[in-house]
Amino acid sequence: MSLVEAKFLELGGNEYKRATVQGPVGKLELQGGSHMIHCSRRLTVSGGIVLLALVAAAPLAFGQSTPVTYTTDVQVSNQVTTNQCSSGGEPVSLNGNMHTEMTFTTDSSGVNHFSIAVSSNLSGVGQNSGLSYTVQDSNNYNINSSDAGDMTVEFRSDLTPVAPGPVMMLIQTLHLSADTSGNIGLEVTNNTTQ
Amino acid sequence: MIHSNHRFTVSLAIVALAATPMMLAQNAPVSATSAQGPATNVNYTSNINVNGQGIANSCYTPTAAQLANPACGVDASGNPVQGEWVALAGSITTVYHNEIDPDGDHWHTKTTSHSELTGMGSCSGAKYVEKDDYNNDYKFKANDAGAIVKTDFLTLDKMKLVSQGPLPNMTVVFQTHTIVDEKGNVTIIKTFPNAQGQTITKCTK
Repeated sequence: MSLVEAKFLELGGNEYKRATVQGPVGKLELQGGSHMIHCSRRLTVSGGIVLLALVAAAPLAFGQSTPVTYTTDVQVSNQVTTNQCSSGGEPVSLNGNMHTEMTFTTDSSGVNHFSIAVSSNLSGVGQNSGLSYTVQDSNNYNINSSDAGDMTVEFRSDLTPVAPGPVMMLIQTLHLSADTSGNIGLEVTNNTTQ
Repeated sequence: MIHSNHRFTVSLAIVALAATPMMLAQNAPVSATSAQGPATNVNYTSNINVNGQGIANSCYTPTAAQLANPACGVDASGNPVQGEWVALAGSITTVYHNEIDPDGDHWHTKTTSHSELTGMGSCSGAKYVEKDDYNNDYKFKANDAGAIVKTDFLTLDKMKLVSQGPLPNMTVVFQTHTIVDEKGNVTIIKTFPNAQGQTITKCTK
């Protein structure tokens, strides 16, 4: 475990969160592992109507509906970058939010197609100069698997000083995971600059 | 899925089988030759030669005089570009190895790609250099017999082309498509941005 990672864990930044579901009908918070909707409204219907409803619902059941978007946010708190710039640069303390959106579909072969978008909205303070920095960027990842999705990637973005000054490249190591229950894992395990 | 009207793909396929180490250096896709599982904790290396590819520098506006040059304002295939075409050359070396979890239910393919590229603007003659390492860890499922379940991963990444003159640096988005099939074949496809669309470049001082 790196010092940065240790610091992050210490500060409670290592988070796997239950996703927020944002679908066509609005937004609801998941409290458990299931996102089935239980409706207590009692209906009296004939067999013919049930059959009609099943026929009408068939296209939805076979993947023609809009995929549900699952979201999660991870707060970044005082994560200090390791400066690996060949000339200049400095460690920067980062704060802000990492936002993740995930959709998936499952094809007829049982392969899950996960689409994950990560966006960062961070501010930073140079540990030597006291200069302010901002980070705003996004990246997309896709996993096609009959299992859950899991990968560790490097997320590169510009670490831009608010005042005129050199732009550093921030490299965040992200551990991403997703499953078909709508769980999204986002863990920032390392931060370096080049 | 890769969406590109004029995509260039540099692909290499590596059969990661202990029984066929001679196939590891091939730069063209190869078909699977064995149903054996991939070797674990063995490093495999392959080189991709980048030549004849490039990116459109939309931050640069060619002058009328430069546009008189037929090579200015078009990509390597003669398609019009916004700005100027920056031809890339160099190599990307990928080293990877496979690991299996202690409980045997998941595999990991861990890759490190080292790229060293140069670029030259077709209008301005501006020169750029790029040098970086990219690390990824792909986790995928093993079936009941311990064999791999085919999985593929697409990641967007950025490379920084550092200007060797007065023009701004460029940050270029490219896509890496990593496919691991049931027999342990690993295919890596690098897709650079193209002239017709996609995220191209961002310019920084």
